[in-house]
Amino acid sequence: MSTFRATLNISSANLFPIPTNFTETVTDNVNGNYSSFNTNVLAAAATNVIIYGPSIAPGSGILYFYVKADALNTATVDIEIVQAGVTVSAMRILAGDFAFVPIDASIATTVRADNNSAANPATIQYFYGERG
Amino acid sequence: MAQLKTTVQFQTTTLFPNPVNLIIPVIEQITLDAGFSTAVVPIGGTYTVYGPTPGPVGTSLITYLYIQAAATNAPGDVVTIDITDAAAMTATVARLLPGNFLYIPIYANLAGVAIDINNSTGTAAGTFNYIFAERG
Repeated sequence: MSTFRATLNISSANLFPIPTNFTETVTDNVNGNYSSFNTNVLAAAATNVIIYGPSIAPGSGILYFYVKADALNTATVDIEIVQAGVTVSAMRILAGDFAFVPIDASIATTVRADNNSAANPATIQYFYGERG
Repeated sequence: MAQLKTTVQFQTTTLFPNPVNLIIPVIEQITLDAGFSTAVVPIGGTYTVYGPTPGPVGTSLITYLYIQAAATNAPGDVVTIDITDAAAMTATVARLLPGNFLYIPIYANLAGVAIDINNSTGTAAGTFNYIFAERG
């Protein structure tokens, strides 16, 4: 069994606007049938499928998905969710940024990455793992 | 200026199936609006944590959104996070089990983008803590 541990820390050196400092840690188990680490180099203006939903059938209904854009990317990458032919695009990862989503895998979900650069490739690293 | 630091660690004590141990920290600077809130979503209810009117955005046009389900939420309830984009398309992007969280950078320059917590099939009210922070 593997563990997937995510920590969120917010800190501020100023009193305003956020006079706070806290750390939140979440630990999840990844012990299902599916887990994978991948690196994709998206060609200029390309859209790649990185998870094809119908091929993934987790037992728990949860598929942890983490995607990070390489810090050297010259453009943003949009992460698109496709369900029943509907494409939703609202997530955008800057160079060096990441997103973490526990996908509701009881719904056939395809995840795509869209390189917003018309001239340069973009690299993403991503992981998905079934909760089990 | 505040700083938001997220660290993701994946580790295993066995060789298979994932013989790996990695830690990835990411640090973001928050220079515009930020807020901490708690939402209690009743049975059958939906709660909008972001949008559909975009907030102030800086040159990055990015707002970071973090939502965590309380560990005391009903374990069997299917509470989902639904995203509607600027083209009015909606998808169920995530399901939050008790204690689980979601972290996404939203392309916040788009009017109509909305993030909803949907407890429509739940058996009990659910509590969710969320943070939004504009990168600037």
